[in-house]
Amino acid sequence: MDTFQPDGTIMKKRAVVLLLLLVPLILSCIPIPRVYGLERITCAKYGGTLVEAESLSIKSLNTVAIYDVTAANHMMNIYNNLVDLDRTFKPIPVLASSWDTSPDGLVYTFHLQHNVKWHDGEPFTAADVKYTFDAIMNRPSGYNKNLLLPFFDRAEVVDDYTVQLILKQANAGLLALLADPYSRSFVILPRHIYEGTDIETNPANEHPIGTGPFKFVEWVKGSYISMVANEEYFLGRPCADKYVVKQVTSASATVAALETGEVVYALHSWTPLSAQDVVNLSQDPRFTVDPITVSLFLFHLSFNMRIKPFNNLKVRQAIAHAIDSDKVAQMASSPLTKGNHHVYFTGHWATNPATLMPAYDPQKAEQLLDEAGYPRGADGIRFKTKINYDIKSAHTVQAAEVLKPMLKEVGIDLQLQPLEWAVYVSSIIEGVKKNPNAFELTLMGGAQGPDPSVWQVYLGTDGYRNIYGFSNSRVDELFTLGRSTPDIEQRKKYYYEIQELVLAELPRVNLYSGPDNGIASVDWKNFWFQIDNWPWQDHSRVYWVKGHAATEVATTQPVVAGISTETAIAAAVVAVIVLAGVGFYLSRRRKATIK
Amino acid sequence: MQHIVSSSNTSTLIRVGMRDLRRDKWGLLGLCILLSFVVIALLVPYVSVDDPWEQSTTDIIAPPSWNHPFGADIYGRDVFSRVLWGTRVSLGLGVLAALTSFLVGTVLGSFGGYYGGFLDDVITRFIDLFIIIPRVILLILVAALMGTEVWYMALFIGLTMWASTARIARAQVITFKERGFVKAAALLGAGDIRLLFLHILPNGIFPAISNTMLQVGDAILIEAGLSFFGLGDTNVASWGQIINMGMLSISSWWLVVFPGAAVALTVLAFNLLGDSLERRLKPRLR
Amino acid sequence: MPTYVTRRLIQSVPSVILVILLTFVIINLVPGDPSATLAGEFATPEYVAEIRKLYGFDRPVHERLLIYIGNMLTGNLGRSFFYKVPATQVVIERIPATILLVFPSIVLSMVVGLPLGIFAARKYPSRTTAAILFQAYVLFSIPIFVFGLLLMMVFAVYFRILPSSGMIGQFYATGLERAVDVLRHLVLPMLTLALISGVPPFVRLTYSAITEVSKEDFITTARAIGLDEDAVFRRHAFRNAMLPVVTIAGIWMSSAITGAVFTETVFSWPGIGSLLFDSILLRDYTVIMFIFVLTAISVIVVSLITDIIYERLDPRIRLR
Repeated sequence: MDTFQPDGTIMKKRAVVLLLLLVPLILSCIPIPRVYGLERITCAKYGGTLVEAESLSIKSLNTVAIYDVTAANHMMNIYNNLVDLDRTFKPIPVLASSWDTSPDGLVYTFHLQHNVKWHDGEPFTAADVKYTFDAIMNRPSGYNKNLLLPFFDRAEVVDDYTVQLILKQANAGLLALLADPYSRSFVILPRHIYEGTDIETNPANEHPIGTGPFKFVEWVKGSYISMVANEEYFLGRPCADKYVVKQVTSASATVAALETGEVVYALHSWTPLSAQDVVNLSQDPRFTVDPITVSLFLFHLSFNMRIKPFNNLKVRQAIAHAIDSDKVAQMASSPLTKGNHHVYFTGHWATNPATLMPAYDPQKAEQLLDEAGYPRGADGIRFKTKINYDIKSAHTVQAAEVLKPMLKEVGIDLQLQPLEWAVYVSSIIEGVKKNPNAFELTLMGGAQGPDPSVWQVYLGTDGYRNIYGFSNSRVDELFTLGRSTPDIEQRKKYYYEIQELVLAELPRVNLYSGPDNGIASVDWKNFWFQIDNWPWQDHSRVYWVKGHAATEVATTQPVVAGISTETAIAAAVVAVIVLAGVGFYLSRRRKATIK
Repeated sequence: MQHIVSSSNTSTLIRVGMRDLRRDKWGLLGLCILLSFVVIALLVPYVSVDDPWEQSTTDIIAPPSWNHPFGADIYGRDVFSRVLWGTRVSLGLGVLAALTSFLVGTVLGSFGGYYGGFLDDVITRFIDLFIIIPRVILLILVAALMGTEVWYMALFIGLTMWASTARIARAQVITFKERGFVKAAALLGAGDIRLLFLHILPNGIFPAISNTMLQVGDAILIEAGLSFFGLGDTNVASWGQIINMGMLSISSWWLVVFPGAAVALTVLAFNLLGDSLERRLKPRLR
Repeated sequence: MPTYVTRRLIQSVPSVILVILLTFVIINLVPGDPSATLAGEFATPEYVAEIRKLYGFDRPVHERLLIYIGNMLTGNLGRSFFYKVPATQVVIERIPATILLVFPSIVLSMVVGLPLGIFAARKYPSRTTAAILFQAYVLFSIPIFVFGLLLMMVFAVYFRILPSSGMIGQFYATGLERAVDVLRHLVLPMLTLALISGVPPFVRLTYSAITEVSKEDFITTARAIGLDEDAVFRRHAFRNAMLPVVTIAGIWMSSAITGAVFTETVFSWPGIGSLLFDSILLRDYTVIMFIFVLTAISVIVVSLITDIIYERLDPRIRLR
């Protein structure tokens, strides 16, 4: 205002203006707790083809419609989630740049990234998110639907870049669930492609369109999936030009492929490499082997607490002392893998640093067994027992083999009884509910993360994986509390206490967690497990040291046709060999008649 | 000319067979190899070699050395002693499987051939069935689903192999059924079973025996194959188990080569012997 | 002739049915079903039960068998539980790869095995014969996966002249480049399958067939007449010796499939061999059944063809 004021008020006005100018300055210094976004991708070099080895066969490329853990390992390069997880399994933003929770924990409002495009050029909006969740909930049945059903109500579009997920019951584990690094069943699907169709049978499942850093090129079943860099990726162009997932079914072939350079990266323990191979590769200057700091599976020895002798706490503690989990980890996984000494995943945000599994102490074990009333017999044996485990899992097989002499040393005779997985599930996991003698000891793995609330299925009184027969009402209470509040610090308190209680009763002995190591050629750098804040198995920041700098950009290869070429080749090869054979035969004939 | 013998001349036949064997270099070689393995199998408990189950953290995947002539496996166990002890398992398994196959095949085949008619039709159908189904694939199915204890596996393997023996037995019984000496014995009042087992079979059995020898080798190969798929019995130290472990790691060639050679030699021995027996006992055409 | 073929085909039907029955019974006899695997890692028991009901695993065996046969007659061989597409589609997509592996192997086995067998027979008795035969015995005794792995280690890893596994390495190539890439990957698996499963039987059988035939009367007569050795050989012995060889090609079908399962697994070759093993462990019933049925049918068809060729080659044989 330009009206003339007496001197005092001009001073006041100037003060006000000055103050107004200072406020933003001051405010920007205050650390506002904000949800950080993922960094934009910057690459030291561009180019190259990242080839990853995968040993299990991939069944489907649409991980929302069809549960396929193997595919999930790679699909977040084509698709994105709303959120993902960092190396301690805390949530980080991806398609959602930030989110708020209502005080009662029932409404999650996600603010979506702008300028995200689908691989076919269409814009990504909140409508795609709503469509995906509607499709999941409207299916007659599905793995992801089953996970959401107990607490999820619906998704609501607020505007093009804001979407709300509304719950019936508070569930603090929602964000970790949405990330789902294990089966990627909540990636966002394109509404404009799937709307009105059945997500299970839509032919787009064979040519997926996503928002991710790599675009789909080709899928030869049982052989490989090939992708190229998405130039329009919202975080910037990925460093590699191309990404291929190659099926290599046997361990020796995987190592051979790494040695010859046909494959440059493998995730150890999802691929069946042997311990010795991992050591050799780690000592080979052409490769780097990095431990995966926090994992999804926790392998543990489970007691059947309903029967003798495992109903006796001292026996359980004794066995815990008799086991050297570091050594088990070395033999079962790789000499670079350490045992998991905490009650929950070492390195996880919810893990109580103070509660540790009983240390390796065979003398203590012997003492406890004597006290428990199981002295050594004339043959040195205190008692016999048997252990069941999944026959197909190289881990558990090797772990069992290592446990045998460890228990023998303290006088326990361990019989190994591997079972096929389906039999294992029916006779032990389900069977123990009807028959308390269904097993004595077993080796279980199982995903017990990424959110600690899912651990309830193992340790809650009515948890369906609670085969130990463990029941503690305070633990049950704590699990319920843990789910109810989204505040991480508060949740930590609950889970810390759970771990103390579990340690006191010891229904199980943790051994090690997996997957264990990332193995890569030394020519490739900046993998997700080497970065704190990057989605699990997302390869957009990996670069090839022999690539070119940013200024020159290589052209991407044209899309290739389907497998009919193989049939043509088959015919050609057969024809050639047959002609050769016939020619050979005829020439011999002619020789004879000439004579 | 066919040797027409009654049961008391079986021993003569064996003596004749053995005499020719000396001239048959292949068969001799097979016999020698086989005998060495049998000797190893029998003597191993009395010879002091390392405990095949003793694990050692220092020797994980150790290459061959004085300490471990065949190297060590991923648990540090001595491969040399495991291969020697494995002889017992593998031979035992092979023999058990082949015996099962022999018994089942001979009984079914001869009954079918002898009684003819509907029974024969049914049995022939089953024979065809088991010849059509690829054995190993069926076994993978069975082992994956029903468990892998080694003696059960031996039995199952035998139960998939009986078809070829049955065919041979059946053909032999049909041929011999009409022979003079058999009809004579029948007239003298011999019952069906007596006829079959005391007169027909002792003469006709030899092709089945040579076939069975080949099957021992087959069974050992099959066990190795099943172990390769992880469907073997981990509680025993069979050659297949050692190879399986070797297949896991491409750098430890000794885990694959030594037991692999053991398998190859044993199977070779049985093949040579079986073929030589077949040559020896096949009727000549002049 | 057509009536003969039809008659044989009709006779084979019960065999195929028996194969189906046997496989079905074995698969379903065992406790447990794929519902746990299908339902996934965090599946509640209720969801597992839901899956079980959805796929009909809770019904008794005989009911499921009848349903399966009923469906089969209408051409519906079921959907793969895991791939969620028809089982036939899953299998048929992988067949070309197996054909690409198996047929060149058979041809190679014949092209190598027959001449070697003939050569051995002609040079009998001599060191050469012994060497050839011995080598055949040895090859047959080596476990096929050991041999495959050895080839991989020597040629792929040590010498780096051939790729170690898979069918394709140049993922973005087309046309001729892709064809060459596939052929390069084909070499080791094909050699493995041919040298272990194919060549030894052909060598031994040809050898013994020819040596047997050489003792026949008509051969002696021909020689007595004064016919030259080669002519005798070509015109008479050879033709008759082909008969058992043709038979073996039929029986070999069965062992070829077995060999293919091992070879495909070692070399990660994406054919039905590796698919079969995978499906067995997952308990993808429909896929397993279809592969077994397919195998049975192909064995029958091949043996039918060989029988026909047999009859053509030797009109003396009167077939029932």
